[in-house]
Amino acid sequence: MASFRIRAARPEDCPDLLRLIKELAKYEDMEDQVVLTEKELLEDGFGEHPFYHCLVAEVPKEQWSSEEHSIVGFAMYYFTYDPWIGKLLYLEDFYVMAEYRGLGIGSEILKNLSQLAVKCRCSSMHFLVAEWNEPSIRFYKRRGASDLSTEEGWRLFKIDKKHLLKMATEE
Amino acid sequence: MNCFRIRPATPQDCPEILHLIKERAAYEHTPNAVTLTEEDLLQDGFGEHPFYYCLVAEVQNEEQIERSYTVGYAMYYFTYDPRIGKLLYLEDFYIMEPYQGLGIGSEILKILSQTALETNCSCMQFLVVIWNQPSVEYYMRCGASDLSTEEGWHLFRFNEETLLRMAAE
Repeated sequence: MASFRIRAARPEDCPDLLRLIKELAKYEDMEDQVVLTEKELLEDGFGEHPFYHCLVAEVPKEQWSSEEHSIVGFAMYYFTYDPWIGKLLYLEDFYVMAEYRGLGIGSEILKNLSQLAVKCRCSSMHFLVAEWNEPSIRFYKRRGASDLSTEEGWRLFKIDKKHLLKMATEE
Repeated sequence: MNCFRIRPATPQDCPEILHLIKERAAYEHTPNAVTLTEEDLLQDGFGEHPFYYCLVAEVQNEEQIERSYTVGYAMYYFTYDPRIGKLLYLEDFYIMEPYQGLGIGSEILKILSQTALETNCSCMQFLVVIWNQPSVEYYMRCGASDLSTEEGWHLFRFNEETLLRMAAE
């Protein structure tokens, strides 16, 4: 029977984190958009002020991947803030390598995240899902997630660097 | 003529910020949805690890020049995109109605843009309710793009009840 454990990421996990980030980006057809480096992941996640936190799923040696990887999944999260209710836990990225799915790793990661959210007094957990990603939508809805974009009309907007520069220097 | 200034919030601003948060909620017909207290705002924004940052907009009292009062705020924090790194996330942005149209909003956005660039953020992100046409048009004029429409992103939520259930499974 497959065994695994979920634990907090450590600085030495950064190469594996980047590998899995790239794998997930490839699945989302956004591989060439990954410009982050191992050095930035290290500074941003394990410096004095972490901008993100990570949980990783680790398997014992006899279950290592064909390329001898022991880290087979990760979840990246951070804390956001709602001015009406306070702290929220935001799940930024969540990925388990294809050959390790269906073993309960995803559910165990979600359980860990839920416990973290409750412990840190977060009112809820938010995350984005692409509307074409039906397996993920089913996974989350089965567990009780609601689609706030459909229910309440929320849309995510972005102002890119070019326009930020324009606004920053306007008279 | 009204003159205003935008400055970073201090712990002493928490009562005023909460007052504006509740005013905004009342305007949206959900005043009881605000369960946050001044104590929460103080601990969460001015403790060892801030969970949010705030800019406040102040206007001078015409009769007592040395007194000023808060007429707006913008709440933001930093988020992280594992593909590109740090982003500045604009959580809330409100200016009292009598003080709209005076350039306070533009000045706040200018300062937020400068902050984003100074802290090496790749972009600024925020949520808008799609049927809030004035806000949608305002942000589009600033050069914003709607990622939900362009890339299909939907915001999902696990509420507190669901989190408790999953935590105990």
